[in-house]
Formats: sequence, C-alpha cells, structure tokens
Amino acid sequence: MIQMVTSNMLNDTQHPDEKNTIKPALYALMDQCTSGDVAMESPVVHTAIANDGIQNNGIKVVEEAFLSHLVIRGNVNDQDFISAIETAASMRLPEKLQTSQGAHATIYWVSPDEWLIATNKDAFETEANLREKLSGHYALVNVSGGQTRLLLSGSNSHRLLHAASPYDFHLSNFPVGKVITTVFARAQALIHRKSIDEWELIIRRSFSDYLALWIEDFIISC
Amino acid sequence: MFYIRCPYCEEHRDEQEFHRVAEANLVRPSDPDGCSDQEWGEYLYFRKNTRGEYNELWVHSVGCRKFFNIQRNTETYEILNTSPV
Ligand SMILES: [Zn+2]
Repeated sequence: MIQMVTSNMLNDTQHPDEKNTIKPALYALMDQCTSGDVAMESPVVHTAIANDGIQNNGIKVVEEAFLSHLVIRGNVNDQDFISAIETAASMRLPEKLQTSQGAHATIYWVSPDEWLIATNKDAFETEANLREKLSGHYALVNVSGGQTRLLLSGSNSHRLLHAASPYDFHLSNFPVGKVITTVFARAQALIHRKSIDEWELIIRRSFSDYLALWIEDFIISC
Repeated sequence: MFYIRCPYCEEHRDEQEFHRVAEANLVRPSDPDGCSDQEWGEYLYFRKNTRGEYNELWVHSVGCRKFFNIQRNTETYEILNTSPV
C-alpha cells in the first residue's frame, strides 16, 4: 500500500534556508508489510543465531528479528525538527555517541545529523506518526528490511567483541548506553552497550550471513 | 597501526574505519563552461604530491560517514590536526 501525503517538505531545488517559503509537497509513504500471506524471513534464519540463539562458555548471541528500523536525518540546530521527533517518539534525541531508551524503542546516535530508531512497533505506523509531526528539511527512511539486530550477552561477551573489532570496549571507554559504528569482523556493525554484559549489534542484511557464521564459528570454538 | 581523531565523533578511532578521499580544499571553477581546458583539466586531474605537510580530505567511512580535513606529514606520517569540513 502506498499513500500519497501532502506535507511541507523541501523539494530538490530548495535550500534549507528557504524554510519559510516552502510549498506543500507530496511524499510517498509505503507499507512494506501489507499482507499476511507473504512470509517474513529473517536474514539469519538459516543460522544458529535465529530463534533461541547460540551460546557457549559465557557468550550468547540471539537475533531480535523483525524490529522496525527507521533512519532519520535532519539539522540538530533546527528546534522544530528536534521537538517534532521528541513529540512523535515521546523520547529525547540522544547526544553524540549515546542512545535513548523508551518503552518500545531505542534511538541510536549515528552521526551529527543522523539517528536510527529501532522499535517493536509497526514501521508503517511509526513512520506515518513521525511524518505527521515533521516539516521542513529532513529525511526519514524505513530500512527495516535492510538490517537486523543481534543481542550479545554473557560474562565473556567482551571476548567476542575483542576478536571482531579494534575498538576499546573497556567500561572506562565504553560505558552503558554508549553507541558506536565500527569495524566488526572486517564488516561493519553499530554496537550499543545495553548493560554491563549486554550488547546490541545492528548489522546489514547483506553481511548478515557472513557475520552470523563468523559469530557462530567464534562461539563454538571459544 | 594509527589512531585518527574524527572531529565529528570527537574520538580517536582505528585507521581501518577511515578512507582517504583527495587533496583538501580543491576549488571547483565557478564557471565550468567558461574556463579553459587547461583550468578544468587541472581541477579535475592534477594533484599536489607534497613531501611533508599536506592537507587531505578523509572520510570516517565505517563510522559517522562524515568527510573531514586532515593535516599530516607525508614523510613521517605524523597527523598534525583533523578538522570538520
Ligand atoms: Zn566520525
């Protein structure tokens, strides 16, 4: 289902400074999961990480499948942009390298003008709700089908991270609530420390087969 | 192994997260149709190959994906400064 909605959005030839002269524009809002008769399949469905996950020797990895992932971009100095998101999400936009946690969603800082919202609520409704509040110069993309979230936990979970990434995961450098995007097993992951021994990894669908097998291999042999 | 400070993440990160892009501060001719082939060719293809202090454009490609300027010594690999574009 595609809805055409009129909104005060910039078109390609307008500069952000022209905010006050913006003419109403159309955007397409697409529901990517329209019918119940097409089965959804996680990108790691064929690996041990799906369903109950895999664990060994104090390391556990399980997929948190079918969350709604939305990338939002805009100007952090635009107070209307900030308050529109915070009203729609009922959450604060996190500061640099931080996350904010809500009842149904987590917002991750990605870049000075980019955030990722992961929620267990419906992607289509979440996007529609955000777009209703937002105006001006912004970008909002539903990337739910393009990535997935893994939960890494256990008292030895840091050992998997040390093997996969050059980053310093010590508590003094990586406190609970921090998020980074970095090299992970020569691919890329967004890594969030959810608690002392719990880490969320958001990986791209195109790398998920390779990364799931890499993680499986590490856990079996650790 | 190098640690490079990303001026947007405001942290030192491993060099694997970064890519070099080009010489920094290249100025595109203001009137591409009006400039000579030589001016356009030099803008498009010709770069300094400085031995010593050099300004380059890098990108924090596996990170915040922002472009930034880096001032470094091509002889010693010492990084003197990084700054937002
Ligand atoms: Zn960065």
